Amino acid sequence: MRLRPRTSRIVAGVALVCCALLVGACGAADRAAVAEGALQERDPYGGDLAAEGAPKPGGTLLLGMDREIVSFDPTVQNSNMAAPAVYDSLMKLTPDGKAEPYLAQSMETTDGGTTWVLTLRPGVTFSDGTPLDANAVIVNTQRHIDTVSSPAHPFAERITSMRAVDPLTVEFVLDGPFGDFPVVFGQPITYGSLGLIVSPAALQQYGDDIGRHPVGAGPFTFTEWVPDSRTVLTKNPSYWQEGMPYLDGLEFRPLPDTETRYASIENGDVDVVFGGYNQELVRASQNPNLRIYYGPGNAGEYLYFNFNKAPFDDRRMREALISSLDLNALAASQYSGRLVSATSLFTESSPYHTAAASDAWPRYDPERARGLIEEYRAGGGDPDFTFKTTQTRVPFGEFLQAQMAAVGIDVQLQFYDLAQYSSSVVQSNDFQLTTWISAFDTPFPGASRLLHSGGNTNYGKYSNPQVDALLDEAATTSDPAVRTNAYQQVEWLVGQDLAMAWFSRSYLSTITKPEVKGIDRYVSRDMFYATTWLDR
Amino acid sequence: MAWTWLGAVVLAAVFAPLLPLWDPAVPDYTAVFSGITPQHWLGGDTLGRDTFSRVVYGARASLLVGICAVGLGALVGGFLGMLAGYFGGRTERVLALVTDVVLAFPGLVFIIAIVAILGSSLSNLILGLAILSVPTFIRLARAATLVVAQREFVLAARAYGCSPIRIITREIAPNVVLPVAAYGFIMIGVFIVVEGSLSFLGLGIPPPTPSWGGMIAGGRAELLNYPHISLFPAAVMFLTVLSINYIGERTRKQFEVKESNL
Repeated sequence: MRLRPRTSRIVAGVALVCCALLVGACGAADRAAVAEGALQERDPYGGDLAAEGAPKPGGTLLLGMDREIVSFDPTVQNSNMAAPAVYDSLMKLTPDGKAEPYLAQSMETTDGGTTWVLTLRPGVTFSDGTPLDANAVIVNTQRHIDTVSSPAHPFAERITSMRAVDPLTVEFVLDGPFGDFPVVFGQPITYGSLGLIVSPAALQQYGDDIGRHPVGAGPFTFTEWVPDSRTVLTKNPSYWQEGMPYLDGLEFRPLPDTETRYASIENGDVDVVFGGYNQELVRASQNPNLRIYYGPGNAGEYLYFNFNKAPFDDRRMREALISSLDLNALAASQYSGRLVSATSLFTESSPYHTAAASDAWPRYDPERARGLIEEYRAGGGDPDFTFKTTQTRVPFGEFLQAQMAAVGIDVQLQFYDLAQYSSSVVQSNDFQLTTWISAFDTPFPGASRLLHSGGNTNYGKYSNPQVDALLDEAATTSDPAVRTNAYQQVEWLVGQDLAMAWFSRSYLSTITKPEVKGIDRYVSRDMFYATTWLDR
Repeated sequence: MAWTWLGAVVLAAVFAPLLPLWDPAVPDYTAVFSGITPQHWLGGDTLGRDTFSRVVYGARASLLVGICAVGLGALVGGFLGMLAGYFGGRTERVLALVTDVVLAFPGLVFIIAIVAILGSSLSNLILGLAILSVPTFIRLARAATLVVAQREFVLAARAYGCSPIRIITREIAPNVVLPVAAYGFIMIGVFIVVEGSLSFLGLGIPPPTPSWGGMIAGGRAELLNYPHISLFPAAVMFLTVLSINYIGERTRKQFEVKESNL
């Protein structure tokens, strides 16, 4: 038989593959027992700078981002981890949801929130040598007023007049009281911030191309940007904080694939990665050679119901959907058993959260879901629907489909690439049910953007006049007690309306090598780099 | 060996609903990522669905796509190819142009476009793959026809006054069918892999219908911790395509021998 040797080689190969599979399967069974319980918050606002010792100067930090930068222009909405390094921020958010001066010296109101006086630090210059003065702030704010697509436009729009009282003082007059106005000067670029100030000279030179040639007063200056490869920043020698920054430079690299990104930090290619998903955070938390910074934040991962389309314009169907999602099963199947479950708008540690809101949230109860669906069917409604999401969420889609099948609903699944999904599905309101991730630190503007009628991330078109009024009241008032009360009521009402299906907090994390010290961050992952140093 | 494996896969696929298997679409959350157990012979996937059952049902989708797409492509392409080879002239030039256009178009982009416009479903996938395979079948059938059309029995049929359609279907087709079928058999293997790649990209058969490519893609996120979720369907696909290629090669060689003996 001529074929013998060849056949036996194939048999040997097959046997080898089978052995490998068996070994793999057994190993998997061992590891399944390791991870238990929800992920815990860990240094959400950065490390303890005092306890980390005297900073050592020098070194270049390599940072892996989960997506490429779109633009450094603060009027262009994009997730840009390098922007705060170039611009710094006039104000900075504090863990209790307020804003304190950072690049600015102070921000005060003289009449309960309508007139605001911003005072700048003397002697601060942009990296091109021009002064960061009142005029620079006015020029930048005017850009947000003029650019309707700017994420900060809704806040800037409320300014009726602004003037330079003296070279270091700007007076803003608003259309009414706005107690949270300073918070708007400390937001991350993606939520819209008035606090990222670009050099007016550079604006004049580059015009709309400023997004590729940023000049600011931050700890680092822009050196080069090779799209889809790297963005390089170098130390700003004339930085306003004495002796800072400690690092010589920063290099940002886009690493959009979760597996690749995690491999890069694990094998030491980069010093820091900005994580977006549960998998990498769970693995990093089990790796003793990595340090994680993570806070679950408000909102999180949730489903948008479309209030303009059947069947989720009906509250019974919204409740049916929430009651048929078994979060324990979801945790086991897709979150390595480490799901941080969400049953309310605000996270449990937030002062705006009440236990009552979480208690009133529907629990997993397929019997109740079946009843509600029957009722809806009897009323002439069709409970079957199409679930649209991104190609990375196929397993979640299959999970939802299986859970709905168990209560008698037929779900069609459609998957899109991220760009198409954002524009033609979510932002065009062309869905019945879809997924989203969003985490915010301070309730303003996050909650208003999400829940106010016409809010710019209210993609499901939820609308409740009572909620609108409370959100307006909370943003307007300068009284913390009134604000807290208003937000607690918002959370309660939104929970009663089942405006969104909360199921998980977010997993936006910063993962670093242990020698990276002096981390100063927001829960949304945006970082301030002046204090960062390398212990090596 | 190859025949045994392929036979087992085909039989399992055909008789899947009669076999005592788990329902491939129903999750069992106690078996999420489970390894090999007496209940789940090849373990459970990310939703705890039985991998063995899904591999068997996945064979239906994979084989259906492979066979239908190739069958459709061979039928249309074979017929057009015979027309081109028999008539020559303008018919041949037009068909050659069409063939070159389709062959020059990137296949994956074409499928993505079809799925984007018509939506992802089994029939759209088959349609797209069939269209992609038509040009190769045209070329193959045309080449074979050119040889056969010179032969004496075709001349005799023409002398009898048979219509071109009759000559093509009765005289030429039986001689063209063998090389086309041998090539088509190999193409089935290729299309099973292509279906896998498309499902991996989320453009294949929509869930919950299991397909091998979809199963491999489903285990991707957990590849590091639970490689068996992707590896079992990948191994089955590997063995099946290997068998098909092996058998295809053998058959093709046999036909070559026969032709040279003529």
